[in-house]
Amino acid sequence: MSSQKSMNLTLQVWRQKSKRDAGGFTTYQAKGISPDQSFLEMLDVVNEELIAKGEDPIAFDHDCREGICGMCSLYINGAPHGGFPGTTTCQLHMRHFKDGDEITIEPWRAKPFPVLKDLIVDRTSFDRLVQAGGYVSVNTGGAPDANAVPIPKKEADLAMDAASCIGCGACVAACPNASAMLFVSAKISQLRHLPQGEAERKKRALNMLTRADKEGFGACRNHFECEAACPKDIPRRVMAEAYRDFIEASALREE
Amino acid sequence: MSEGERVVRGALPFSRLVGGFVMSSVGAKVIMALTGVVLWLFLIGHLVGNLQIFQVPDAINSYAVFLHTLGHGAALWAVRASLLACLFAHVGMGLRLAALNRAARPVAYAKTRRLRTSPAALWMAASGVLLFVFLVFHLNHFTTGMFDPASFGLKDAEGRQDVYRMVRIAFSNPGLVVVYVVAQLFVFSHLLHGTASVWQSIGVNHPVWTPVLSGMGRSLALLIFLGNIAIPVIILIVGGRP
Ligand code: FES
Repeated sequence: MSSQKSMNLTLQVWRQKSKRDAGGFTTYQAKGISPDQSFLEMLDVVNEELIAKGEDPIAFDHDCREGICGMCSLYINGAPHGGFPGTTTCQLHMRHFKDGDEITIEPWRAKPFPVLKDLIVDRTSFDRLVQAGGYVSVNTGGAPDANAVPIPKKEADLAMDAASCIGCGACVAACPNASAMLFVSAKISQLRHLPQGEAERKKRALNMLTRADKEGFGACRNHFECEAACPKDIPRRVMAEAYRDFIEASALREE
Repeated sequence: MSEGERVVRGALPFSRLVGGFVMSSVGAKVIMALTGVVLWLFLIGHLVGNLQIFQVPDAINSYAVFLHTLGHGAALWAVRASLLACLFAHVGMGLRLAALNRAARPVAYAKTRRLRTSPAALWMAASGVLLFVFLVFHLNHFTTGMFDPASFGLKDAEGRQDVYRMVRIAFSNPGLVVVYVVAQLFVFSHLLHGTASVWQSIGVNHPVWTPVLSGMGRSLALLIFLGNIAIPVIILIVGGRP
């Protein structure tokens, strides 16, 4: 139920048939949008209309639609997920827009995130970053008792804050240099604060940050656009931690 | 063997360092931060020394002699060599990262809205290049004397180089004053971001102390700016030729 009237919007949407297609913007009208709808539901409405007309619907990534999976993306009006604090595109509601607004929708832009179709980019480079060190090595066997390893509350909180990263890639999209530093560092930080992750701390930073360079992500220059764009509010602190581990492992060659 | 280890493992410790650390984007960041701090400390010393221009002529002239004869002239060259090394490392890394970062986003956004960064941070490469150009001019102006050999060759009553008069003559020229003041804007902009972000680059982040240190860095950048523009501006106002 909404007290507000429905609205009509003009969308500038990036359409691109395939990886090789040059792509370009197409203008669409989104009519009768409720302020209670989410941004993705607004696109669903537009797509229904396109399908009815026999046209190709706009391709975009989504899954949970409740802000926890990290599948949704979209660079909305010049910022990832629309640039609202702590908000994913699926949780962005249309009440943030006014009747008659023009909205520009682009895919994430980065060399390691090639566009597959329209607004969908290939984020498997993130998977390779995690494969490079975003794990702890443990021997298989019986499940250990819960709370067998005591972890101070403060450390557990620091790890959990970093672990709230959903890997959506907004940090890369927002970074003026397309750097993946916030993502990589969140993965490094969530493990380094726990005793299970401590053993591989230096090696992990070395391998993951080396991989990030190889994937073609840019270098961080401390703009902190990532921190502002992150829908999970991952703090810049995690990057400082990752640098420390990397310096220990690399320059001091302890690893 | 893991990827990172392969990169770091080399025959010589030096190549391991160069391959693993210096060529990495984090290593480049650390090197830029550390060399930046050296150059920044130099700027403070440079300003403090130069403010002697507002004292009697003997002050800066004997200071110049002092610098040139310290350690039989070796100290000056040792400092110059280290500063040049820092400068080239800083500029080299900066240019390399700028190229890498450009390549990391081959297709630009049609529309961009910045959320947290500052103009000083966004213009870092541009202000750096402009201030490097100014530096080349400045060195040819007051260090090699190529730009104005006549006033560079002036001698005072005791037969020393008359730095006092050289500087006064230079800044009685409004055109030159404008060049120096505009250049200080680039320096200020560059320092504003550099001094605030150096801590993060070397892995230091504290919820309370980092903002305080960054704030102190920014204030120092402002003081350096005000001190540096005071020299040409005040000389122009009070009259250049004593
Ligand atoms: S669709 Fe799962 S986070 Fe948006």
